[in-house]
Amino acid sequence: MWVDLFQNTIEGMANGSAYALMALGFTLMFGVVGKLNLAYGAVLMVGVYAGVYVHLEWQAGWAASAVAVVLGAVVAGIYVERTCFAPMRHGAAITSMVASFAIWMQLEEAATLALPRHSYPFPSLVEGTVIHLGPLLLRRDHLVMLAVALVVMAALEWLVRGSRFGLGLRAIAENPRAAGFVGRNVERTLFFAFVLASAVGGVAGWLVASADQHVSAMFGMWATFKGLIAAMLGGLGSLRGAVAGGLLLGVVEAHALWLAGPQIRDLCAYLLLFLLLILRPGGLSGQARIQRDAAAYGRL
Amino acid sequence: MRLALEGARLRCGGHVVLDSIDLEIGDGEVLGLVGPNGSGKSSLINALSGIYPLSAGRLLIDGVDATSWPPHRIAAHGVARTVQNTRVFERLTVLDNVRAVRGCGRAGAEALLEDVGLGDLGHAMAATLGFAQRRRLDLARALAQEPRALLLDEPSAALTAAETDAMIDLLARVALPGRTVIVIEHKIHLIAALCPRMAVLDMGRKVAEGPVAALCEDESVRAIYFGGRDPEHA
Amino acid sequence: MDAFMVGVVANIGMMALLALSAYLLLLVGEVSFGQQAFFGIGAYAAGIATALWGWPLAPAILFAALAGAVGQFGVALPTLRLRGFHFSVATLAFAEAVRILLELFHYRRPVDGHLMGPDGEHGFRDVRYIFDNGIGALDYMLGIWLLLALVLAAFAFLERSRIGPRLRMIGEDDVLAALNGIDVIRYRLVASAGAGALAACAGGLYIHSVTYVEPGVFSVMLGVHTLAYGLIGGLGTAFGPLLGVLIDIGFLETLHGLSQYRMIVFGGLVALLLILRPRGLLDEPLANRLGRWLGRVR
Repeated sequence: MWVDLFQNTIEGMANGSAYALMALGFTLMFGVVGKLNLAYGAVLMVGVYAGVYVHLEWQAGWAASAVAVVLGAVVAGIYVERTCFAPMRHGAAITSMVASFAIWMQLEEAATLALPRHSYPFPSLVEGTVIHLGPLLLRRDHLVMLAVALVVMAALEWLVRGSRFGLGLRAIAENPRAAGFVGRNVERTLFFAFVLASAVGGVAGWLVASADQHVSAMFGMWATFKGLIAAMLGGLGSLRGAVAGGLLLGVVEAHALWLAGPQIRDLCAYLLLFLLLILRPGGLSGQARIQRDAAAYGRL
Repeated sequence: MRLALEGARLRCGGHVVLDSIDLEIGDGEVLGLVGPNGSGKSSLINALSGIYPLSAGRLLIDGVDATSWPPHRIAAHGVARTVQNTRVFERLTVLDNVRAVRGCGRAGAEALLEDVGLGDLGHAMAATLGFAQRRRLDLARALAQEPRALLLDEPSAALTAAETDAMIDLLARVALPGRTVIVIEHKIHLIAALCPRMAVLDMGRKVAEGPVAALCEDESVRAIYFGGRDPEHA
Repeated sequence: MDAFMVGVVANIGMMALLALSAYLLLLVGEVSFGQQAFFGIGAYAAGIATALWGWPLAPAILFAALAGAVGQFGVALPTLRLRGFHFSVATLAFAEAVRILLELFHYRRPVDGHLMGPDGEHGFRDVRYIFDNGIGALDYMLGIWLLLALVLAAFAFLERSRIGPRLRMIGEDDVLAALNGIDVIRYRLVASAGAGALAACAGGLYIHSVTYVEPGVFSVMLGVHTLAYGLIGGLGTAFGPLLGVLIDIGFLETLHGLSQYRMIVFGGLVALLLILRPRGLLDEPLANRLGRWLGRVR
């Protein structure tokens, strides 16, 4: 039984690392615009489909596909930023959120029109060979996934904490108007934040696609839900929360899947999110709610 | 309606906003509340209207302990207030802004709008109102609750001298008679025109209380307001 | 009117009821991505009542409405603290959980020798009350629209009374509303129950119209459409969501050849409208003007 527990936990962390990356993207975007971007999963889908396309048309290997995925995601991310967030910068958060949902529908339909089959093959990064570590079976591609995710997370952490761009991001997250007054170009920083978040998401999508070695038409829906759940578990306020949320989701899902099958696995994910929202709206990091309350009373 | 704060203490995020305030306002009394920015005037009103729960001390309404009452219950009990950053419901008509308030019917709302000088604008969207008009709508909205106590948070802030005089006249005519009122203001002449008594706050503490004329001459009060310099020669 | 048009008009009626359930919540400032869950609960409840328990249609629809009201009220209680997108995501999570639960729900009973009832992923077939009782498609459509007319009249009554403006006050600024003596929590709970009832009614009518549903119907896409109808048609009046439904289904029918691009067009339309006119076509100022104009004409 302990072997199963460890096995599932490790499997869960591998998936969880992809979720963590997607959650990071959600959280990054939320941190700078203060609004939820529900088209994020669709952006990832466009990226992943771009990778499928280059693989299909030009027999691209994993490297070229990876580049295509990230580029595709960035382009789609820019489209979303231009339509849902830039023009409504001073509007209500809900407006942008619903607009992003509408763009999600748009992007998803466009992607499935371009590549109408239900499932497409995707080049894998490494052979899915298995390493034996005592009684545990570790898949090589899962380990690579974990490693790549950790590298990206560390790079992001450095970027946000240690660079001028990151400083600008954090200033804007704290107080957009004041940041504008002291000369930070808010619009440009927002734009680059979206580019960055889309790129990070693209990496996540590529990792998942190459681990699964195929991409299905449900990818956009899947990515949106998983990324959203992971991000909200983390509380949407902190990057570390996003990583924690992603890993938590991955591990919970792995155990649920093992115990009761794929439907219960998904059910558990949604129930986990619902319960967390009710009991601790600020998520694991406890942040978002405090800001919201302050805003409401600040009006008085 | 009698209002009282006993030993009221309010903390906001680690900062002590109100520090052991004792305040008693008798039935039908009009009290001015003055003090520098950040002294806790608005917070005191917020505490009296139930927005901020007290960290310590009591709030008494007609002798009843109302310390833990939610805002709508205090409002339902007869305490109405205006808001410093005047807010109206932009997506409703002027009439609906007043009519939907607890206790007010259509006829009563129309009469109130007449009283505050917005009688012709009943069917306009509140979003179209100018600033001074919004102030008057805010007042009408508060009056629509048929309150026995009225808390006015800087009713003349950002109004011109002429608009301020109109507001003083309006308050004296419509708002004050027969009610217990607290008026927060920076303009001393408005306080002097409307309130026989005033309380002075500084850094969350009540530092003085008494007749307006006497306090205006008081050295310590002038020091708080004018930084110790004579305003004539400032 | 040919059979096809009757079906379309009936569909518009049912979707309008569903759109009104999201609209009611939008009035109090709640963006619900989950009304499709109560649509599904209503469908299953009404279907079970007629197909398995042998009830007549009207009590079955009432039963569905009750189930929806209780259900949405039950979800509203724990989510009272949540505002803004936290609330919205909670509704999304709840709705997806309900959809999965319906995929796992089996309740089969023998009726006249056949085994009937919800069968998990395979859905719920043979809800044939309408056809077994000789109710024509036209009559059914008229019945739907009669109910819709009653609901619209109820909304109009609310707007004229104090309740409509109070709901809108809560939606615009709930702290200010509380300061004005409005019991925000009570209104939100009642609005939730009402929204649940409306969505469930729509679902109950729907399952009898199509005789077969599967849980996949109650997807996030349906929920987003439901929401979009009010946002596009306008939040100033209950006719707004109806207008939104007419636009969408009108689109679908006239651009029949381009139906595969419907999402792209509809999605783009929603986003565009939200930029230009966040409260929809029939927004509050326009509804006010139209109301006054109609008042003068009368």
